[in-house]
Amino acid sequence: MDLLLCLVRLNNFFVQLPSDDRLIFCFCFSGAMISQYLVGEVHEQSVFTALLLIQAFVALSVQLANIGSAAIFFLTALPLFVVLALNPLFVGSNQRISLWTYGLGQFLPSLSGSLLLLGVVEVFVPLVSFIYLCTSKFFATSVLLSLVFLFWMLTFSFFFPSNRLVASALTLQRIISWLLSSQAWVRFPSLSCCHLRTSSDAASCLEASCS
Amino acid sequence: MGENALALIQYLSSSDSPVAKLTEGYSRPTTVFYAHVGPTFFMYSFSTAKIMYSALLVASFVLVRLTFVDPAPALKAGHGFWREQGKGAIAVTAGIAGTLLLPNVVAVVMRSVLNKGMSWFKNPLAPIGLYGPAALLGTSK
Repeated sequence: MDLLLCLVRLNNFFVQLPSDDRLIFCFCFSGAMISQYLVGEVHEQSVFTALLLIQAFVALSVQLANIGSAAIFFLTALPLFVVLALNPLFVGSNQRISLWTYGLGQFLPSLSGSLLLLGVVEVFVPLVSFIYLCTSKFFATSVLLSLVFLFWMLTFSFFFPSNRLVASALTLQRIISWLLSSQAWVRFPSLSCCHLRTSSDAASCLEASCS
Repeated sequence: MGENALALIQYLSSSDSPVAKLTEGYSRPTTVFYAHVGPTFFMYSFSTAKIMYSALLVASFVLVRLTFVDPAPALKAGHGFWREQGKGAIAVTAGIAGTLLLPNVVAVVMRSVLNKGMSWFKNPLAPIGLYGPAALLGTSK
């Protein structure tokens, strides 16, 4: 239910965007193959098993260090372990990682990661926006972004091993970019009362809402 | 919400409230508890957690070792397992670094070059929409 709500909100957000922000989105979406060059070709199964071992190792070591609970790493590693054990059933004699393995293995991690992510952004994005408005310190936004994408990473860790998944995601992104840039969106009037484009816009908007 | 707040206030102001003991200093938590997938609530002690997590690590290691197939057995004789896991770990680490770095780079560009530092604050989900693709780009090795 939360996920559905998240999708609906994300959609509403896209509809509200002014056109030049949509261009920036398209820019972000389109350059997505660059980092493929940074690390050379690695066997898909090696990345998958390394991901499982790293998560299980981090879960145990953080727990042993008595810093706090490392349950989230356990919760993401356990489904990976189960599907890796089931993988031979899906692929048969073909020594690859099945797409079923990805789908089943990422269902629970995606759910827990998105729930954590929603909680963080709902509280911290408005909070940090006020810090940024008052102090113009970029540090807070950087910390927030890193925090948000730490959870994002847990949610989408299945993008680490697979180039096939990245390719499908890119196709999806191209469709989204096409939708965003198409004239269909222009017909929908903007729903939001103010677009915070620059800090001066935001300040005047705040003044208007306070007075 | 109101009932929960009232129950909390009544508990914290009663005679067995832990508030007075807080002056003695902070004690580390010893219990893992979380709700997951709706109403399912999990609670177990730290020692149980250590046993469970160790079991998972050992079982994962055994599974990974058993299912390991050397991608290039003729070329690299011996040490293939550790070499492959090391390469996998490097790819994962690069993915982590990329996921954390690229959104920050895009944010710097948004702020300094495009002068739109505030545009991702208009909705709590806006940073995901704006920087998510960049993070994904960092994630894909």
